[in-house]
This record gives sequence, C-alpha cells and structure tokens, in this order.
Amino acid sequence: MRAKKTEDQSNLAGGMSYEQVKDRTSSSVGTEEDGGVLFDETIAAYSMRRKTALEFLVAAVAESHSKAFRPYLQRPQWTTINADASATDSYQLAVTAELDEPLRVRLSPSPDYITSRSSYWDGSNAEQVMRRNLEFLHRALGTAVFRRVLREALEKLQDLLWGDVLMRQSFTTLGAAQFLRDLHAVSGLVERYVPDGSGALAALLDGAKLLNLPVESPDGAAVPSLKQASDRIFTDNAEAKRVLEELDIDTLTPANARQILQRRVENSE
Amino acid sequence: MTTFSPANFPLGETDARLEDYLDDKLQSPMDLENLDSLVASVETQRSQLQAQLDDVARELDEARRAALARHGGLMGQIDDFHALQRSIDVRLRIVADSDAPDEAIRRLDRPMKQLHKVDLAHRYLLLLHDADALRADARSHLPQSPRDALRSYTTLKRLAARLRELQGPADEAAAHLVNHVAGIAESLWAEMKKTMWDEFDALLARRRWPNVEPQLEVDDEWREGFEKLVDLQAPEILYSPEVVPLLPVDVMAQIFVKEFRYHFLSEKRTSDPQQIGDVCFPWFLDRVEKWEDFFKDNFSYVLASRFGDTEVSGKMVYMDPLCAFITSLLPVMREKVNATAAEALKNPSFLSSFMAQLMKFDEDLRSRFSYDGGDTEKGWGGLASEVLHQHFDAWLKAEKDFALDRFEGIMSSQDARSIDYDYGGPGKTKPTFGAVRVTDLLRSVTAQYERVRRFSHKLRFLIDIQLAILDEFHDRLRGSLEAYYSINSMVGRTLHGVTKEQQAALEGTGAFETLCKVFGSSDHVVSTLKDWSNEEVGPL
Repeated sequence: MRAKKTEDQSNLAGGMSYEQVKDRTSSSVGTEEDGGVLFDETIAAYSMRRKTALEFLVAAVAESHSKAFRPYLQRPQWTTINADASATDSYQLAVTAELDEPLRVRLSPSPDYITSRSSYWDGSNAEQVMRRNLEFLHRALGTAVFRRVLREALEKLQDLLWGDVLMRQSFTTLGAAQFLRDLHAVSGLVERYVPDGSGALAALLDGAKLLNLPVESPDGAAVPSLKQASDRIFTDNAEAKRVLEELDIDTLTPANARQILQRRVENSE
Repeated sequence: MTTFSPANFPLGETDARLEDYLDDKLQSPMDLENLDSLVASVETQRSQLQAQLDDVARELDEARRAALARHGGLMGQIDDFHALQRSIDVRLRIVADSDAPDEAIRRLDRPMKQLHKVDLAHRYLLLLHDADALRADARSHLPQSPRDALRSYTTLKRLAARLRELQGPADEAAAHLVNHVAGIAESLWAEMKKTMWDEFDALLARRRWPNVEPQLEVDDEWREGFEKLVDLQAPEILYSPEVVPLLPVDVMAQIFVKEFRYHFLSEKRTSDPQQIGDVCFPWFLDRVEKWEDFFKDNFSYVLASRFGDTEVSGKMVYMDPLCAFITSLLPVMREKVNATAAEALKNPSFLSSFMAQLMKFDEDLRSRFSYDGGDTEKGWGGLASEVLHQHFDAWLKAEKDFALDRFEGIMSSQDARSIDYDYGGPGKTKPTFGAVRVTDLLRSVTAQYERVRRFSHKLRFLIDIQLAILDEFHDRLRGSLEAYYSINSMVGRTLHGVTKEQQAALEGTGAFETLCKVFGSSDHVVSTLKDWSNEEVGPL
C-alpha cells in the first residue's frame, strides 16, 4: 500500500512531518506515483552493505589465491629436460607438488581447518586452498553470486599466472606440459563447482596450448610443429591469425602468440 | 420726457401744403369773394382737427398715467417678496437652531417599541399554541398510526429547526423560545418512541421472544409492529448524519444487552477483562450468528421496502436487519471494550493481546456479517480504531518495547551470527540465523498492525518499530564490515588496535565467512523487503 493523499500531507503520522517520513521510508511517499515502495531507503542502505561485502569478498578470494600461488610462482623447474621425449604428454604428468601435494594428505576439507589454521596453510598449497575456498563459497553463496565471485577471482588469478609464469619463465617441452597439466587441474577443480566456470581462464589455457606445440609434428597429425607455427606466426598478422584459427585459439592476439612462442627455450636457441 | 404742446403748429414758416391749398382755393379774384366762406371752412376744419388732437393728447396722458401706476404696483410686489424672504430666512435660522423635532421622535420611540413587543409576544403565543397543538395531534395518533403522528411531529421538528436557523442571524435572540420549542420536539420524539417501544415490547413478551426457534417465521402482527416502528423512525434515519440504531431491532436486542451485562459487566468470573477474547467476543459473535437467518428472513423485506429507494439504500446497517442487530448490540460491547482497555493500559502484554483480539473481532463482524457501520466508502472503523484513537501511543509503545526486546534477544542468541547453511536449499545465498529471525520478527510486527485502519497509525508502526529494527540490524552489518576493513588495512590495524586474535579470525576462510555473513544477511533483508513491496501484502 502506498501513502496516498488521504490524510493531511503535512502530518502523515502524528507528529512526524512529511519530510521526516519521506527520509525514513521512500522518496515516493506521498506522491501519486506507483513506482515507489515504502522500504526504498532501507533497501538502498542494505544494498550498499551487500555491494561492499561482495567487493571485499572478491578481493579476499583473490588475495587468498595469490598468497596460495606464491610458492608456485617461484618454482624454477619450467626448464627441466626430460630424456624421454615421449613422456611429455601433459596428461601423464603428475600435478606440480606445490599444487597437488595436500590433496593426497586430506581429500576432503573438514570444518576444523577453518579454525585451526595448521600446517596446510604453511604448506601454501594452491590447489588445496582453492578447493577449500570454493567449497566454502559454494555452500554460502547463491549460484549466480558464487559464479560472479569466482569469475572475478579467476580473472585475477589468470592475470597473475599470465604475468608471473607464462610471460616470465622459459619453458622446455616438459615444462610447458607441466604448466598445462597444472592449469587443467585448476580448471577441473573449478568445473566441479561451476560448470563452464573455467571460461575465465580461457586466455591462459589458450596460451598454454600454444606453448605446448610439439617440437616435431607427429605423423599424420593436424597439429603444426613449434617451428612451423612459429614461422607462420612471425610472418605477419594475417598469417598469425590464420594459424591461431587453425589451432582453435580465439582469445590471443598475434602479439600475444609471438610473446608466448618466445618463451619456449627451443625458440630462443 | 419731451413736453408736447397740443396746438403748437409752426406758424412762422410757410407750409408747402398750405400754399398748395391756398393756390387751389384762390385761383381767381373771384375766389377772393369766397374768402370768407373759405376762412370759415378752414376754421371749421381747424377746430375739428383741434378737437381730434385734444382727444389723442388726453388719451396719451391717460395711458401714461396708467403705465406709471402699473410700474409702481410691480415694485411694491417685489418689495413685499423680499420682505417675505427675509422673514423666512430668519425663521429657518431659528428652526435650524432648535432641536424640537428630535425630541419628538425620541418621545415616539418607546411607545413604538412597546407596540412591537406586544406584537412579538402575540406571535410568540401563537407559536407556542401551534407547538402544543402539534404535540397533541401527534399524541392522538399513537400507537395506532405512527405515520399520522409523524406528520405533526415533523412539522414541529421543522419549526424547531427553522427557529434555530433564524436565531443565528438574529444575534441568538429568543433563546428561551427556541429552546422551548426544540425541547417540546425532543420530548415528543422520546415520548413517541417510548409509546411505540412499549407496544412492541409488549407484543414481543406475548410472543415469548427470544425463546423462539431461530427458523421461526414471524406472524403478521409481529411484522406489522416492526414496520410501524420503522415508519416512525424513517425520517430520523434519512436525515441523521450518524448511524441510528433501528428502533424495532433495538427493542428486540434489549434482552441480549441485559444478558451481556449479566455475563460481562458484572462481578461474575466471565467479566474478567483478560477473558474478553476467550469468552466475551465469541459470545457476541455466537448470538449474531444464531439469529442471522431469523433477522434476514423475517425483516429484510420490510427494510428494503422502506429504504430501498432512499439515500441510505447502500448502508448495510439499515438495509440488512442483521447489521442493524449488530448496531443495537454494539453500545454495550463498546462499554465492555472501554473498560477492558482501561485495564489493559496497566499491563503492556495484555494490551498487546487485547488489541489483536479486538481487531480480529472487528474484522469478524466485517467479513462474516458484512457489517459496514453505515460508512459506504471506508467501511466500519471498528471498535479497535475507537480505542486506538485514545490509546494508540500506549499500544505503540508496548509493541515497540516487545519488538526491541525480541530483537536484542535474537542478536544475543548463540547462533545468531552463524550462517544458516540449510536456508533456502542448494544454490541459494545463505543468511545468518540472526537475519532470518529478524525478518520473522518484522513479519510478526506487521501481523500486529495489519488490521489497523488508519494509515498514519500504520506508518508509525513501520517507522517507530520496523525501521528502527532494520536500522539497528543494518548498523551491526556495517559495523562488521568496518571491523573487517580495519583489521585488513595497515592503517586500520594501527588506528584501532587490532588484536592478534582478530587478525587470526580472518585467516583461512575466516575472512570469507565474515563477509558472507554480511552479504547473505543484507541480501536476505533486501529480498524480503522487496517481496513485501511487490506483493503489497507487507506492512502497509
């Protein structure tokens, strides 16, 4: 029901002025407009708190991830050379220890880790922290909000891994495979909570895919070798776009692609 | 003036005409012979002329004298006139200086007034005589023919009204007379009603009312008795701005009013104010319900035939005999309610439950029996609005104290700040237990006042209680965010002296939990309020 002009406007509620009522309820009190609701002002105030809480939450999740990924970023082993060239299929690799180890220690998070911040934290295990975070947010937040928080947090994680790993490190075939393996572990985790949720990491995944081009193209495979692809991508933008299209990569620019290909030790030799 | 000599011919000069004359007469010497005769002839002519001349001179002289005399008369008249005017002027001055005429008017004044008074007194007497005659006439028609009695009564009533009307412009004159006539009209009306009342009451006694079956079809005499009373009252109903109980229904309701007093306004246990909701209201509603068919089946037609085409045809209190029955029972209930309200003011929790019960009672009369209190636009205000008109502030305070106590209770309960993970099922944002209970509390406050009729009263509830609680809860959520911010920022940590424990609480998912509580609870409040606004079933 709305405040209509049925009673004296200057004294809507015994002793309260029209302006007071208006301030306390809705700017549409006393008007004939039908759009206003009595709780407008209160709803606005609570909405502000909700918005702030959400902003803080996104920042907290991103902060938690970046802390958790810190040891991973400092891992110096991207240039490892594997004598056995056939073992570079990323799916046969184990997930990097800094991501994976605690998964084996405790497979499902139990409530007490929240209060007793024990050794897992000190282990700084990124995937474990992510799993724990997602598990918590999944329970506490509605689907749409959870998706939004996750997307924003993953975008920040993508920036981090893009800048501090993909664009900074040099990769051997094995190192590249390891990186891709690790990213798949992360996106697999995300997908378990939010279908298609790893879309926020698309550029990073595309980058890792490009980074993983084989030194020699396997017989009969449609995949170009690292050298073939590099030659064409460095030719000109049009050619680079064609290669990316062939590789089904749509999130990278030719400039991105060139930067990524230069991270392969084979290309810098 | 030139002197005029009568025979003054100039002899010294030769007149041409004389010469011609002489030449003519003396043309020959012979003619000289005739000179004597000629001289004689001339002499004759001369004397004749002289005589004529004398005559003319005399006449002229007379005319001159006459003119002189006439002029002298005119001057005399003018002098006389001036003298007269002077005399008038003098007299006027004397008259103007004198006050004799005013004196005369003053002397006439009092007798004139007395004459007027006598005339007025005469008219007074006539008026009083008329009033008495009208009263006698009205009396003579009762109880057989109330319509005839009404004619005289109506005339008398109009007379009284007209007098009252005229009294205003006449500076409230004749107060005694006006009041007297009005008094006669009033007492006659009471007397007429009493006469009819007694007759109908006697009939009811013979019919053993109310010890009859509610399905009974009343006999003709009963119905006619009912009609007669309605006829008597019809003009009063049509011209009264307030709701008037129907006379015949009033007569029939008396027995229930007495019963009511016996049970609920006595020393009996059933009179306990605390029992009003459990015993008194149900008793009232039972009586109304029991006689619903009886009243409607037997008397609806009478009322429809009397009021169907009148201005009151939309009012249930006149068209529906059951509503009229309620009108007749309400005064005693009002008495009971007022007595109970006086008790309830001493006990806030009783006041709270009493108001809820009273509003329910009002609503029952409205919804179950279509009672409209004679107000076709806004419907019946109800006994609750009468109580609230006097005691709204006390009631509001009682409800506010309860609600705020309850709020504090919710906030201090152990799990208030825990997230309710089972709320709303999977995929829904989870509020804290506290937030859910706060909105439940707001809803129950709404239930307390949703039947209140006055918008301003509802608004006071909304603002004084519901918005107060919402503000309080909001402040806690904001405080929570501010604390989080302090602990998380270097500036905050130094400024606010954040402890290691506070910092430790935000480790792991601790920070998320703090933020999700605020987020989930704000979200819950926002969506609850929006639902209320959209459904329009909320507080107002």
